[in-house]
Amino acid sequence: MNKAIEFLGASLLCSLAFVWIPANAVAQEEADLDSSMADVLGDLSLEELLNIEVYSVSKKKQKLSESAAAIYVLTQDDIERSGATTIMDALRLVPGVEVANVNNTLYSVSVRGFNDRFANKLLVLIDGRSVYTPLFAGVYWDVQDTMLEDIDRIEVVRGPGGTIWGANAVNGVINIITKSAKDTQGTVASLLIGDEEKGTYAVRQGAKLGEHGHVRLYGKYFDRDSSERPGGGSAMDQWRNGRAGFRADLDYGDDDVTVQGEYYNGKSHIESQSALLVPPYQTAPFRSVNDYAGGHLLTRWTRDLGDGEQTEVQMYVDHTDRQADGFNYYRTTFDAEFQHNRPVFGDHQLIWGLNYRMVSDDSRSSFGFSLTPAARRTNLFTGFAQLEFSLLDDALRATVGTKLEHNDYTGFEYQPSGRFIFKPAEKHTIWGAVSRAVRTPSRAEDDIRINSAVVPPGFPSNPNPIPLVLALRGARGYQSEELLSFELGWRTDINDRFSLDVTAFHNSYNQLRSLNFGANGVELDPAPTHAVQFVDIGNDGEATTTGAEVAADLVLTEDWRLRLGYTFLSLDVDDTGAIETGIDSASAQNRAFLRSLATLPGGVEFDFNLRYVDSLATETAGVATRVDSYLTGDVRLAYELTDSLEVSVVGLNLFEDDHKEFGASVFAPGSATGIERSFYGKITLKR
Amino acid sequence: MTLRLLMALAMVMAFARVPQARANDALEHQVKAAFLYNFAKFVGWSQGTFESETEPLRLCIIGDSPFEGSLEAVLKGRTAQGRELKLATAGEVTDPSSCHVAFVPANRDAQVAQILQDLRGNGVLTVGESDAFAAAGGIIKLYLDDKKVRFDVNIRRSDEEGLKISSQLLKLARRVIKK
Repeated sequence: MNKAIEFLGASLLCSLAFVWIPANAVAQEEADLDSSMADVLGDLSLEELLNIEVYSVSKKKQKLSESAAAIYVLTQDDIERSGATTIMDALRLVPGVEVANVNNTLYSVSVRGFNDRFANKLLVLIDGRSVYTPLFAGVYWDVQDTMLEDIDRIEVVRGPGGTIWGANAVNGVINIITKSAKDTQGTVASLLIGDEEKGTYAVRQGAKLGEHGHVRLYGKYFDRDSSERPGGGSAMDQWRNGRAGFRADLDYGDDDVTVQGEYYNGKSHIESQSALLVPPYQTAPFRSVNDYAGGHLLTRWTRDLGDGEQTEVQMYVDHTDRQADGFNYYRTTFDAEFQHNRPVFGDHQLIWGLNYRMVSDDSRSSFGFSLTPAARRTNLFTGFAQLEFSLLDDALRATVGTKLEHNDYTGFEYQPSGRFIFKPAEKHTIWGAVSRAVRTPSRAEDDIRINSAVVPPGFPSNPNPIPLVLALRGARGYQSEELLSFELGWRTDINDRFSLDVTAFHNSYNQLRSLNFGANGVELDPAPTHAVQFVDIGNDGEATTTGAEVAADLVLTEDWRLRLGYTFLSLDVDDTGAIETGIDSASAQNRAFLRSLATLPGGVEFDFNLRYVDSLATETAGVATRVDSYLTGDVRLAYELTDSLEVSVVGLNLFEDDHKEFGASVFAPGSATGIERSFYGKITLKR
Repeated sequence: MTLRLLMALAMVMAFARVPQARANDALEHQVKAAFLYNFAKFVGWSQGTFESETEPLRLCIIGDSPFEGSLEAVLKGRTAQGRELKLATAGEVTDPSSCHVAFVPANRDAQVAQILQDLRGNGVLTVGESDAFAAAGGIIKLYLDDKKVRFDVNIRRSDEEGLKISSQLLKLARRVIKK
């Protein structure tokens, strides 16, 4: 660990030394306090300039660097040059985001602590569609994919986004935005093959759609190999997935309409063992198949009313089927949303909106998993309003707002926040926020029963002459988890070449999910007769987290850029009286990355990433697993053979044969597997 | 029932106002000014273009400036390639071929072919904002699309002028014209 920190520190210092020389020259120049709009624009990067809507007077809405929140953006270029083959792997290069593979198909992704395969404090949206599952308030990452070439950007907001985004945006929001069909005209076909990546085939075709529109059709299939079982051998976690979809964008001047849809189907595997009521009380390890399929259809209509006023209506239907080891779950979500923003009292801005969501599900239970009732329909009503004030000639801006929702689990919930952004001097921005956010109960927390293990008769923990079932169960009285969050951030562009973004936060959580020993008894059904010890979920957990995130961007030359990220997190969980869940040690205290993006003479792109993650020491119900810290690197070389043909070669996780990234957790028992070094080659045809 | 109510409300909101969208000309040219400054940063001139280390980088506007002072504001106090930036507007441009960046406003479309012909072979980065400019062999065309400012790069022409356009800039171009 120390070596890694030293290395990153040294790289940072070298880079600083490099850029500090021109920095002085700029700093001496007189700061123009009467900075006009044009002057502000001069500070923007090309990417930011490309995002300014010149039809709208509201420049503030468009500028991420002026948000009173911790925001980081991965552009298409960032994603492509990271070498990542999944959305999740691209997120490893965002400060503050924790990504850990339990094995090749199970991803744990979280922001600001509480990492787990079933992490439940993060909201993820793809083109405005929520992809978190109300089943466990987390994300089935194995179905989240699209053509990476068509992603415009991934915006990551760390910290509570509850006021605008709604429940579950407790610790952050990940917003994956694909390109407009207008920007994906022509053909892209890519083939990717490697030792772990057994084949990814992706094709997209764009076309004009009448006089006002554009459309693209795409299809993608991939097949991935298994990871390394501890002690050697295949961990049986292969994964394959196919999807096809379209996106149409129609531009009628002030009205823009987007229609998009997708169907996917795939299988992800994990090595698993199931509990049995008869000897040997547990099956041999077998390859458990997660067989899933789903799709969605979304329409969004935005209308520009001029003078910075806009309305948006969006509706989508999303269906998902998932079957694993006899437990089947089917869900349909219908969501309708309306948003309106307009300037009020001069330069101030009002945003308000309404949202309705209906979730209707059905399930078929197995011995291991059951939902009671098997089918349920829930309604969610939400309204929000946010007012942005501009004060002191725009040097200070403040935002106050709240979200009010009614859900079928806990009734009314409110999520207010107050934010400010202050520019004390040119090139310096300070922002702060106080927010309250809630994480509302999931279907599982209300209704699930998981028979997680069977203790054979005569075992020390089972004095009964009959088998003892350990059963985890949800509770209808389960309440929302609550967060009160304090954030403070500082952003600066020292000069054209160096920008820095530092955020510190302190979060205080109440009513966190806890596991408590509940009733015990004897059950006749299913046979044979067995004893049962319930483990009930409760709201007895409390926690505080304190942390900091640093992002730095260095332009060394026009063709060479460095991006650095560092995250510190201190998590203190108080679950006195409850069963230890190990949540406090499943997030690394220190994480850092350095990425280098260079174009060599001759046009070869040479990019590398160094990634460091501190050790984890999970202790779950008395069973300790330690995951060592790791430092690893990725390298990418790419070259355009002709105008339309690009080849690239990528090596991932290069420093070790394999390394572990995560331990066991209450809801994902079994041991994590080794994530292997891998290589792939890719050919992309664009025309 | 509730849903229908929401939808109805949404419709009413959307149609409540008569739309009156128009491009904001001033903002458009402020953004274009910022692009010009960025082009000066991301384009490399061949060796020998500058006579000394301290020679400023000259930006010229060939014709009436549509920037209304915003280009001055963008350039003020800023440098590109470690050089001071010097702006020359219509009357001040005595020898266009001595400019490093020459902006041809759309109001000069009638003469654009002649203007570009005169600049040819002098290592000048030409930037314009019309189809006529692009057709006549201008190097970077700025234009509006989907309410945002975009740009195309004619890389064949920039190669002929001995200009090296950074890959970062090329990646962000909407179109890179190679022939």
